[in-house]
Amino acid sequence: MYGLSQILLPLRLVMALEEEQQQAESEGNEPAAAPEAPPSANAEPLAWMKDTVQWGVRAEPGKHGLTMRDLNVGIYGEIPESSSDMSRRPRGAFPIPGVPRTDLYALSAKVDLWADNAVDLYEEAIQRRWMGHLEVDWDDITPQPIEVELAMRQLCTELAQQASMETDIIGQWLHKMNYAYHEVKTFLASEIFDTGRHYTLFRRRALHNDGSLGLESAGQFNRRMMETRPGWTEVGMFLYMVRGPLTLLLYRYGEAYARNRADKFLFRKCVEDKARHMAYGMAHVKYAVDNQPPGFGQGLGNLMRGVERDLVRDLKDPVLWEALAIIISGSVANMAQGMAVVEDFKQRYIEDYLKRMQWAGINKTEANLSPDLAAFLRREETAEAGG
Amino acid sequence: MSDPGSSPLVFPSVEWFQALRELVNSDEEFRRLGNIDAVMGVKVGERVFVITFEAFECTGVREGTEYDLIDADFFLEMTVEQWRELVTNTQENDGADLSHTLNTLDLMIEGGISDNATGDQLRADVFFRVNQSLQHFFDSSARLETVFE
Repeated sequence: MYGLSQILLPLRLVMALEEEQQQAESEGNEPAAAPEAPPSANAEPLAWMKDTVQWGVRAEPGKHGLTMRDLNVGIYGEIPESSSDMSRRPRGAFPIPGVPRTDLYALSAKVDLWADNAVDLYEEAIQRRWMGHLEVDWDDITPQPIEVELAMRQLCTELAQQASMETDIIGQWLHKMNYAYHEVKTFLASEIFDTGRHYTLFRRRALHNDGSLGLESAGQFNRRMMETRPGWTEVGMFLYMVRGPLTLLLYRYGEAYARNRADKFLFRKCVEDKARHMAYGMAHVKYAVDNQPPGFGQGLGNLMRGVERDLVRDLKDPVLWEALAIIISGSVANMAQGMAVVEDFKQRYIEDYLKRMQWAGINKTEANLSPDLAAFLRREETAEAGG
Repeated sequence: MSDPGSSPLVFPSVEWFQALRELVNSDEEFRRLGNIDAVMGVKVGERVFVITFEAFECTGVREGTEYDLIDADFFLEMTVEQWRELVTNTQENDGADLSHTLNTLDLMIEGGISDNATGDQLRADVFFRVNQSLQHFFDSSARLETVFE
């Protein structure tokens, strides 16, 4: 049943338009050029109510509520291998002839952006959302010795920058993705929201206790991610499998060496978000490697040779490592102890990077790793040989 | 703490994890943290427990074997003494103190405490994706009167 207001609404709209036109003519304005026939499928009044691609679709809520996955039934769950639709028509909506295209989606093939887990990760992002400004007990973050404060500010400045980079990188690809793949688009929208949150929270943490922001981070790898053009898969590999493990580890060490429960909570919730982002990225890269023509994964591996050089240049910058060493050890005087943990961190990072690349089907091993990065893995051998 | 008059629960045991399950399932704060879909193995020395989370609840607790770890998203493994230290620390501090959170233990204990039995990194990462809920789960054990085997 439809209420009277719903039936009268279209009539009111027509009357309002006619009134507007009469008013324009009475004011001496040229009447607007008559638009071409409106893009309706049927001129009969209210006929649009009968237009649907499929009747009778029923979605049932599950234990998680009525999720995006639950709604993927009937035609609404048909995910095309490619889409030539250049409008913003929601998948499953009734197509209207003559609607001008609104974009030229460069990513209109499923293989260019898809991950099977995106639909569930979107729900996870929505249902596990958090509000740092309310949920972090900021009053619990009491001042530490100035060197620890400065080190924490530096770490948080770098983390804020990493987050804002991620926002921009996803932003410049999101509008290129076809709406047929709304699972991915909405998940990435949630990721932008997350990275926006991370940016503001780490900036706030740096400024807490009459603080200040530290130095901006070395930017070679940032630039590489921003300027990569061949495809989202390549950018995704950089973002989620090279930068991602570094950010995740920084969050994890931030949690482990926090000096109060508020910082513990802040870093732990960021760990959750980052791991979720990486779950999409890893699954997408693996999907692309499995479904692109043979040799695609090899190409991704080859691409890393140059990229690793940028990574090495960033990793040689001492600022982040010194800050981390001070946070870990609690003082400049004990920094050497902290630096030993930092060396473990670097080794763990490179191991993690290799593991994730291999998981996605990319042949990245110690044997074909940049020698400078491989050196991080041989720290124990070097220490034993030297000592 | 458990209800006055009730017997202390033995750690590790199905009854201990079952009591923990009941605590979080009636805990609004646990639900508010969001959905958690995970099969978690808990290895205490040689004993294995399988804890299942679905949507907003802990839906299952049972004792298992090493083979069950293959089907788990991740499993937490520590020695009996390390688990005992964690549970005791949690009780003394109304939740793990700064050096006993799950993430901290995973970084500090040689070889880590969390892993996927088949080397599936995507499933191993579930430990990180729902880490706050897992922390809340184990922190809730501060409310259980516990004795050790």
